[in-house]
Amino acid sequence: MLRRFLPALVPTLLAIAGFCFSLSDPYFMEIFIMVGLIGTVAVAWNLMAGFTGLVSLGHSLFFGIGAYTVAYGQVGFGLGPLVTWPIAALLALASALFIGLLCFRYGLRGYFFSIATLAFSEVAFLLVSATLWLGRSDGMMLPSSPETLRYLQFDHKWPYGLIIVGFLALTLFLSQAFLATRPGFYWRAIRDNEGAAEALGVPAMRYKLLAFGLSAVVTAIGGAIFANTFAFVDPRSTLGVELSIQLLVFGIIGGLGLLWGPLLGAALLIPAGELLRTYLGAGFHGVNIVAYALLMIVLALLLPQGLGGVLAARLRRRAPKKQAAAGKALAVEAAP
Amino acid sequence: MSTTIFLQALLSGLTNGAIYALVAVGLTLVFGVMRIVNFAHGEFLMLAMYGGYLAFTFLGIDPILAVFLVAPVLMLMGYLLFDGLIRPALKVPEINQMAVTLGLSLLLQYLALVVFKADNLLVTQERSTASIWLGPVLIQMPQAIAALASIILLGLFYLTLRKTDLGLIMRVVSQSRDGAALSGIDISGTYRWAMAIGLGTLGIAGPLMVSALYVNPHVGQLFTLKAFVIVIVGGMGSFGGVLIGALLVGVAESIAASWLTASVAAAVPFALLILVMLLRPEGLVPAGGSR
Repeated sequence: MLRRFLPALVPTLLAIAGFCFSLSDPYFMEIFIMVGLIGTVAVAWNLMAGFTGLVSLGHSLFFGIGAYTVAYGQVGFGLGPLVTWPIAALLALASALFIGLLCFRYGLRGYFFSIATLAFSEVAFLLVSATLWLGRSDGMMLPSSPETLRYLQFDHKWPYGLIIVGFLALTLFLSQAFLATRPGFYWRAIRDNEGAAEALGVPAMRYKLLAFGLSAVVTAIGGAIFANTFAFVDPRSTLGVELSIQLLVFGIIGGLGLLWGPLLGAALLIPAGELLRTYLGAGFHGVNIVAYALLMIVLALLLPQGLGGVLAARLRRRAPKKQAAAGKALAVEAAP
Repeated sequence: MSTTIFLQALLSGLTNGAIYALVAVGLTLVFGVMRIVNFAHGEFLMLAMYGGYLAFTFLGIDPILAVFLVAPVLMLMGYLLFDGLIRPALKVPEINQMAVTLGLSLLLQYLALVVFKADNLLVTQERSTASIWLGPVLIQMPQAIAALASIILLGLFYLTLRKTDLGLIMRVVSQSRDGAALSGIDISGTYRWAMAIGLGTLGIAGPLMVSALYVNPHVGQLFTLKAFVIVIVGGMGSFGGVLIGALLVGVAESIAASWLTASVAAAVPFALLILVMLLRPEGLVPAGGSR
């Protein structure tokens, strides 16, 4: 039992350690928050991309739905997270099912599915940027309120860090449990060969929609947490293409085949990007993205399993070393 | 009055559409032949636009003549890009291919940002402000030149695809890669040419566009997205489809722009894509017949 949940437990423990370390400095806490938040969203994205074979390039749509539901709920109706988070999840679920139905019914696959999702998120981005009551491209500020708990408004950043640790742990454990169930195996069957899976009686459409819906819900909660944490939302940072591409970058670099792969990608790249920005100064805006991009190209070509895949293979090899050595000797004997 | 506005919007939509077609046709060629979507397509257009700008600013070359300088450079880039990135990318899973070309797109965008800064640049000449009256409506000179050139080029492109051996080979490879290989066609060579021509069309479009449209490091992204929309609307891989898709997108956009705010109008091409997906999933001109 413990062994089965190791892929969720180890990252959670590391996240708790990271949280404790970040308590020392608000700047570290800010970085930790971004890693935990975007990393968890990337894990949810990867349930689709890595486990079901559906590469969404429009996940910022769901993140934005989450963020804007919280922001507008508070500004317009004075609603707190207790109400707005579930609404955000429902809205994201509904839009994911709508988009999924539209795309899958017409057999959009591979590249074309990705481009269609990108188109949807771009429509949302442009429309929100033009909508007066959503603050246009300037964004919306969440008004501060003395009711700390009702609106999740704290004077420090660390309570948000704690919420994000919970979000991360919950996502990892639930995903890990889900992947061991029948639908979880269906996902991977669809990823590996959709036609064959359908021929064996897997209702591919239903399980693709399930993957899309679940992934969207987690992403929307991420967006909701983002809005509460920073008390500010704007189209560029919550609905922009950059966010969606970032998820792909973290996935590719961390490894798409692993639940915790994208989290590893986020944990490596977000602090590295911060470091680059701090040391190279503001004059070199964009150098961190150049480095991201180069790393992504090189890893996508040379290391398709990602850094996490290499790490996992190394760990696996170390455990049954003797067996492996014996097997190797046999193979050598058999070779000539 | 309202009719004039409509006609004006229609005309500028058609001119924009002609330019979009030239941009999208290269993307279709590369996708049709190699089954790989180049997310960095627009970034090469951005480079070509900078090429035209630099040639005008530092060498005093007219953008129309700069085409003869920039297009070969872009073709060479396509040639090198194939051997450097695309050939190895053909061996990895699709999602990794996506990561490679998306990575390239980011790389070029931000390198351009480092080199050229974020300023909007434009080639301004005497004829930039000139315009031609066509009855009640008018057309800006730079747009007219770009649209005319792209119509001529699309014609040439079509003839190449239809009447030359290279065009025949490319059509064969796009229909069946294995069949082509069995008939002794050099697949890698064909891919290389497709890439070179695909980017070469941008080398022609870029310098002409930079006297009509500001260039900045992020201008390419917009065109990549529009080109995708055009390709899907047009049926993913047919030449006629790209033409119709491009004109449709151009016209829809410019008509929307005369009634709605700029930001909503910018969403129109995507809304069009969603509509086509809903109503005609095979695209307006289904591929296959007119390949």
